[in-house]
Amino acid sequence: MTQQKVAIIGAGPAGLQSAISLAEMGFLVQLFEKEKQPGGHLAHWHVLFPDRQPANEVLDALMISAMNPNISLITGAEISAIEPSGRKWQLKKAETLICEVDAVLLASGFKLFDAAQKEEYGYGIYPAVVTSSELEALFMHQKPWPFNENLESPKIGLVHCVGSRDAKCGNLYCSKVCCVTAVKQAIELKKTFPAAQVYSFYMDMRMFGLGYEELYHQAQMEYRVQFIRGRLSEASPADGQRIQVKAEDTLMGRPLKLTLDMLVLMVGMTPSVVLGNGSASVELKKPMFADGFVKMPGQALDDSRLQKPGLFVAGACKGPVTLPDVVKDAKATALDICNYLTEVL
Amino acid sequence: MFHPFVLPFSIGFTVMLVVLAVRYAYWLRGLSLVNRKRCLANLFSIQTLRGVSEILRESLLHLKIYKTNPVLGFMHMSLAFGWFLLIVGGKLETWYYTGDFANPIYYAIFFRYFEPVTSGFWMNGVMVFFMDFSLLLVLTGLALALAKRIRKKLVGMQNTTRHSVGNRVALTFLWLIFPLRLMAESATAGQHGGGGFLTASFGEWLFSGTWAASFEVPLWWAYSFSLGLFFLALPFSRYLHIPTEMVLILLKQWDIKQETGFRPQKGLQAFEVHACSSCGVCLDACPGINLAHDAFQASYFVKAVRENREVQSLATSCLNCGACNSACPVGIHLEGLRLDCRSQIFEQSQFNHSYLPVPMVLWRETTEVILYTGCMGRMQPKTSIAFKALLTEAGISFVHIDEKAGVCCGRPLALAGAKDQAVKMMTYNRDLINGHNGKVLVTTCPICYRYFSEEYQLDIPVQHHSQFLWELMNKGLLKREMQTLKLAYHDPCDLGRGSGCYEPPRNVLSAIGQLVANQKERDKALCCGNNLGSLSLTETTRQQITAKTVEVLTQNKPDYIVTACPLCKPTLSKQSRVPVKDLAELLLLTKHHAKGHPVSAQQYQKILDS
Ligand code: SF4
Ligand code: SF4
Ligand code: SF4
Repeated sequence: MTQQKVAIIGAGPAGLQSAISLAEMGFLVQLFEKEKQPGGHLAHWHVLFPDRQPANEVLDALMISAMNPNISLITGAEISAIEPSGRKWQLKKAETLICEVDAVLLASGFKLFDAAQKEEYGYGIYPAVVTSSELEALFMHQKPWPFNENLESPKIGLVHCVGSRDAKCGNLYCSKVCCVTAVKQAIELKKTFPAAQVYSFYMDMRMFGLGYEELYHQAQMEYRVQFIRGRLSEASPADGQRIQVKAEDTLMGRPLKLTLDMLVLMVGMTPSVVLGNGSASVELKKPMFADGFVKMPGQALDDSRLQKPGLFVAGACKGPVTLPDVVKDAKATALDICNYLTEVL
Repeated sequence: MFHPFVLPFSIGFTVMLVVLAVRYAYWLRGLSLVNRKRCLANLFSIQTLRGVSEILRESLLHLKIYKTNPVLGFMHMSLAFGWFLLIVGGKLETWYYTGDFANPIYYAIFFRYFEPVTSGFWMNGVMVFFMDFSLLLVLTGLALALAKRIRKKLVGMQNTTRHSVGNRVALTFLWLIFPLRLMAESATAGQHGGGGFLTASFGEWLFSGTWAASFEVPLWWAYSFSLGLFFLALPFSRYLHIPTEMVLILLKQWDIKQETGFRPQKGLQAFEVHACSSCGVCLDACPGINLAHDAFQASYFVKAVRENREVQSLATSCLNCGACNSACPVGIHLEGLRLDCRSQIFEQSQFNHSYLPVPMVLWRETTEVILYTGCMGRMQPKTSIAFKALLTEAGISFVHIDEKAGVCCGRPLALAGAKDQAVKMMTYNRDLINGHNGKVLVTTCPICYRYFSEEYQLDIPVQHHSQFLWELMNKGLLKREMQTLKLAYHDPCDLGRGSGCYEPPRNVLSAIGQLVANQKERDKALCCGNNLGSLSLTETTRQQITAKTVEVLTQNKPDYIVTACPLCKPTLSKQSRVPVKDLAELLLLTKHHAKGHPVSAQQYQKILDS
């Protein structure tokens, strides 16, 4: 019997973990990544919430397990369509056939919200405005800080829900991870600049995971981060490279003005692909306004199978999710794929 | 000359005249004192003659509808003008034959029954032909109207109005009148001879047998009944618009001014809402048609006002984009009517603007331009940055008066019906503006621009930045070269329809690239969907409107969508795949990028620093 083949689209945590599980079960895996490097957003992260475990530790562990003879990783390959061919599936890049497999797993993850869309926050206009993902790069010293590092006590603001829970942006959903990311980043900022004044502008604090609430407490009690309930209305330039922000403190019921040295936008998660529903083939298209994540037909009991037999979805392309949940989802989906392939035989 | 069958018509007609007289008198009395004085002053003036000629053009020939939609215009024209010709012709006819001008009205209407065969010189032939021709004209219009009921696309309309039961009754009688007149006249012609090309041949064909003799009088009865009942129903149906539109035209010629407050039961507003013919032209113009949950379009809104129903939700959901206002062939002040209705709703609302500071003027700084970017402008810093860079490039001095702090121009509050609050903003801003010694006030926001020009009565001229930029280019202070750019321009509601500024932004764009056309431009432009005018439209509906607008704008594959409004820009750009820029931004980009390549956001600051 020849070994059955599975193609996985996306080599972020979801793709890597399912590749590992499937390879261990004895299937041949072709893992496609459109970027030059695997790892997805994890590769650009500094430390992870809630335990501040270094992200590269996690990624390295995944990469080591993925060094399995059953896995071949193909980077720089952007798959544009999946087409049925008998019981098998063909992956196409533009018009060219890339491979033919028995099952396909979509694990293309999420895209960060494009902060420039909210021009009122001045991203891309004022250098002192950065995204949460750029802040991770700053922590890793990949870029210089946008203010003088010798400042006695820099003032830094974090804005929650940028591009999430925002009907005007077409995204009504909550991105789930940015609240706790903001708490974690606030603490990291205080560790880097102990005398800094850090403000966090939130709508609600969504501390749903184990250990999150504790982290939030720690941020307030130990690190004296100031949490202000209210949405930022605008950011405008102040003296030098500083930024003036206006917000409403909805708990105190009064408008608020602050001058900051850096403003961090907690950008939300947005879909990376939408599935075109051509009659037979499935196109992977660039999402349009308010397109939403990949919708799964059988949510509660089975959220890995699309209605076409042999097509599976795992990870953040189905919606905002935390890293541990992605890993669990990837393992479960690998098992679903295994069951499917055994049935097919 | 008399026959009892003339009674239904005569009674119906008289009742109609009495009812109309009473209603109009009541409405006229509701006019403000100033307006009543104007009426009297202009009654015997050239204005009245102008009014009559406008009545001819609009109420009878329907030239405006004809311009927007020829088939629909022809339908209205043939019905109204045909009938008018029948009436005038009838009068002339009886006058000609009896030599008596003051014969009873019914005599002209039923003339052919009393005088089937007329003779005379060539004039007789002309008369007979003329009458039949007019009848044919009306019947053609009728056939079109019938076709419109069955298939609206036939007359080139996407949407047509829905009618209530009462109106349908009136409509039925109206539609019966002319076929019955044809039948009655033909029956008489068939029996007694006479008639023109239409009635004679019809009579010959249908009613020449002796058996048909018994049909003649009943047909005249039926004709008279349909006329009588229609006239009886007229003042209580939408057909009231026919005489009312004529009065409205006169009132406008007499220079009647808009009245404040929402009082659609009397005064000018009563004439306006009753002059609406439910023609439905405003439906096709509306960007929200078939998208919003509420049927808030002008035609329905006016109808609800007429019927004294709850109209507040209709008045608040509309975008106030003005498209219906400029499309309405009757020229009803739809925008004003809605705003007046809103002010009624928000009379009660609580605002507190006591925190507004009083600007202190210590010295008046002299500058060429006073720049005001407004609250929407604060949300779109790229536009302000770009415009200021352009001013610097052209060597124009400016003071940005609301850069650090500012309040709203007031129009959004006025749109929400809180005019008194808007006045507070105006006072603040006026002081702020007067605190500088500037030659011109320039704003990058069409909403502010409209409000400054319409309401503020400043001592210095007000310009929108598109106008100012075009002046700078014209004077050679800003130089640009032609680029290989395809540009689609989006007319902001308050700049285009609201302020009549269509050319300056187009001139600027034509100097740097090729303007590509789309099917909804200038006064027909679609709203971006985010007009502040709507107070209750859901985000979803707004976004559907935006999608439609973006689709229209990208029809001819432009490289950029360009607009000149801090509200349109972010709204369109959220959904558009084609980059959306403010005019000033694009003008700045073309300075640095000869080929017009898109510039990333990060490069922006660098451009401005250099
Ligand atoms: S997790 Fe927090 S910051 Fe992120 S979208 Fe939800 S509420 Fe907003
Ligand atoms: S408001 Fe004007 S355009 Fe609309 S139906 Fe009435 S007359 Fe026609
Ligand atoms: S103002 Fe605009 S949105 Fe409102 S009814 Fe008229 S066309 Fe429609």
